[in-house]
Amino acid sequence: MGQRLHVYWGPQHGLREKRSRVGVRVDVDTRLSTSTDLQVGLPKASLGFVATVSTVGLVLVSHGYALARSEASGAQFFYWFGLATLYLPIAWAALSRGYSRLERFLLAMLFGANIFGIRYLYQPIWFSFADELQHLRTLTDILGSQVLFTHNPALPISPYFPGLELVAAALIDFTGVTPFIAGVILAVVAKLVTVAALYWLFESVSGSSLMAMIAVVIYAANPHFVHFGSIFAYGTLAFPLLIASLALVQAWTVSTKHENGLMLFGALALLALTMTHHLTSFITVGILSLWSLVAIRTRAPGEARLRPLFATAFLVVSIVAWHAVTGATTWQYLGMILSDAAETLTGSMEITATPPPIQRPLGEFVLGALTVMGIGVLLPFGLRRSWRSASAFSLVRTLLILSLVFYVSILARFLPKGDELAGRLWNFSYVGIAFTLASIFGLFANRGIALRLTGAFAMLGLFLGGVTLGYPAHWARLPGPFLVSAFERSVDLHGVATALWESAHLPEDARLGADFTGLVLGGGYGRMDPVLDIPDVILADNIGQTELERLDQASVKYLYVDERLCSSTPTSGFYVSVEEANAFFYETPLSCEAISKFDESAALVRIFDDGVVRIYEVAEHAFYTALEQAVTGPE
Amino acid sequence: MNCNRAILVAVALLAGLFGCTVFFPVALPSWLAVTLGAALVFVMPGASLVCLLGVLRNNRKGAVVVSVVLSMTLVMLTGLAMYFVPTLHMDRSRWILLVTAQTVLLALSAAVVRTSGHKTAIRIQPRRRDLLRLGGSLLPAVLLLGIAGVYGYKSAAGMPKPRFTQLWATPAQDAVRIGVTNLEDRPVSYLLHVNADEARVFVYSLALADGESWEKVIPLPALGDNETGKRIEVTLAVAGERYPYRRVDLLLIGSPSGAP
Repeated sequence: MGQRLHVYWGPQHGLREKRSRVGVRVDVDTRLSTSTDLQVGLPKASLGFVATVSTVGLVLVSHGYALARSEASGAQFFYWFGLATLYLPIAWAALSRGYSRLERFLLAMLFGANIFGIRYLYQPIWFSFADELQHLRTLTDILGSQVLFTHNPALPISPYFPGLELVAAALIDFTGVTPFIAGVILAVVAKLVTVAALYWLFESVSGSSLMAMIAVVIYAANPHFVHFGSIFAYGTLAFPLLIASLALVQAWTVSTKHENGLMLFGALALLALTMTHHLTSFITVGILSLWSLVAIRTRAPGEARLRPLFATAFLVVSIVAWHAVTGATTWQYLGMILSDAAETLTGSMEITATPPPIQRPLGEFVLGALTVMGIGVLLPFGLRRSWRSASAFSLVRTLLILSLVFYVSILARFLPKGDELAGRLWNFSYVGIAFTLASIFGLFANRGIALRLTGAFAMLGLFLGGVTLGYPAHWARLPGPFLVSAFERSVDLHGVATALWESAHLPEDARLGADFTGLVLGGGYGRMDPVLDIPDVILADNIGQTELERLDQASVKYLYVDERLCSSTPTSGFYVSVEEANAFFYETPLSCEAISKFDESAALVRIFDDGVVRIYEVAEHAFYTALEQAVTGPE
Repeated sequence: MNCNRAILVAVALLAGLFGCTVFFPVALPSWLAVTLGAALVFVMPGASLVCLLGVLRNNRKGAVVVSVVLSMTLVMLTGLAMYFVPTLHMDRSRWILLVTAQTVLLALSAAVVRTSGHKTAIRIQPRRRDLLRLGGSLLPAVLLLGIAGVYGYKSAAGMPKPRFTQLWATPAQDAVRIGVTNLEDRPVSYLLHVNADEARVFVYSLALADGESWEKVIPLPALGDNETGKRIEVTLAVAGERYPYRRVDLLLIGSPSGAP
């Protein structure tokens, strides 16, 4: 008969049990059979049943997408019902004590794969998210030139952090797959490693696979976990590197053997993180610094207490060295973000157009608000419950403190431009939030069916609420026909085929003016240099002296014009950029004169036409003649 | 993690054979190329290093995570070294050779270390029968995952697509390069007219299947020192229809040498 010692951080098995076992493995799976588990006869669904029902949820989501693509009714129902079907069985299983550690881990991995499926099935044919197209440019540059640190006009900082693209390029070279397939494989691996690393981290600090599973399932409620955390972008790869680094430093801190190996692995993971994403590596410095401070105050033995500090120092040195070697201009890039963040937080930002509150469907608004309030209310209870008992565990306290960033992110969300700041913070603060809330939801585990169901439904509420708060916005959450200025919903065959034509027939890095979609596609598939700051020219009703001078100043060579822009107001609130005059305040669509004006200008020639999208070239000689005429007036 | 000597030797052998394909190109089936290539990028080097150092032997989850993370790190560092070391270049062959060589070295070293008095941790492995039962219970979910993927892909690929034709023109030496791509989802016959300063210089009839492209360089009369430019207008009509379907134009400026 197998025996299973299971340290459980819950209502009946307090931290006192766990504390005495720091650094000592006590979870010993001797059998996969659950007959000898410590559970006291509570019913649990079989692993296969839970896994199958959860994956049926993904099939339902896929059906919702199919209905949305053909504009059939019922798409929203299948999507939301599918999400609930995908999540609920896993949440139920997370609160059930009958599963072995291996079973829980496998369920968590399947859950990760299903979550990735939600994003992949949205657009399984080409890259459509703006960030993906920006990284595609760096990837194709590396593949084409076999050189690193090239110029990427779509995202200038990206080539200086080529970790993601190096792995993708190797994958393409080793397997012969296309960049899109390589991006998908890399993103799914990153998602699975994220789930596995989170599970490992949570299990190592809580000493309980049950708590680890609950925390992982709660982490999935992070608004950016489903979509944004599954795209081909450097943050997607950097996040699992962060979590793996934390888990390795934790293992090194509590380890009494193989210390050098763990130290080496931790250092390599931190090095990979440094090469992959600037912001994540800086946030890791913050988390490790916080951990170091907390560790110094704990009663742990001297060397173990200092190890987080050593890890922090190593990461700082590797970041500084990386910047010195590559000449990355991160400080400029982050300076803009931090300055925006500071101005956002102090409210001193000069806003040219304050966006009105995003109009969400009422149900989504209520669910989102309840989710935020729910987390806000539950966090103090989780903190209170865990804080004192966790005094000996520096990483536990670090995660608890990290969860408090939630309140900062909520405040930021109410400020101008605060959505982006909140989004960036959520990805990281949710590690702490998930861990803190797990101690609350752990109360529902090992209880009767009614209580466990209550807990599972509450977790489902957090997950669905997270989806409503996250990206994409509700108008782009389901795939479908083209929408005007709706980010990924504006990426269709017209745009992609035109961008591929640009790449094949126009000079590389030529300056391209366009609406937001044209810029994103041009910068990615088109290999052009997108010019974001001429919305006044793109949206003007005619081309006069001012517009010609603006084109000249911005050295624009080509203009991408989509005639569908005048068919509706911009779904996202702007046609070109948030800086344009009427951003977020359009009541009528762009006038069709703004589209046809390019045909009437003597300075431009139409070199490409597909019936919807046109490309105009600034005819240099005629341009200056036209400009001269505009300045002096017609003779 | 299972650092069995036989498995480590098999890993070294597979990596070595894959590396040999650089010198002896073999057309591997795509599924095999993808499986082996992905394993070399995501698993093999890191797992071999984990086995070599004997770290995380009693922590399967940790060992799996670290294997993938280390593999990607080694791939990144190899790419970086290829860029910075002047004698190396980031080409496909060198990359494959370097990564496979690392893997062979690490896996064989681990195999040697594993048989030279390395102590095995005391642990009781799950029974094979239990593992099979576990795998079997997940099989329906894995199948459903595949079904969801295929269904989603087919639904996206079968989505009603816009039907259109691309017409373009770009300048070439004493000529204009014109292209047409049919994305109408059916074969279409077109009639192409090229006018230079309103004088017809070229008429062409073409039939394109769906997805087919046509491209031609059409010579133009010498522009000489034409400083005001010659306007080239290209129109495309669907055969049998009266009105132009697509239109593009160019302005070609002459130079004293006659080159546009």
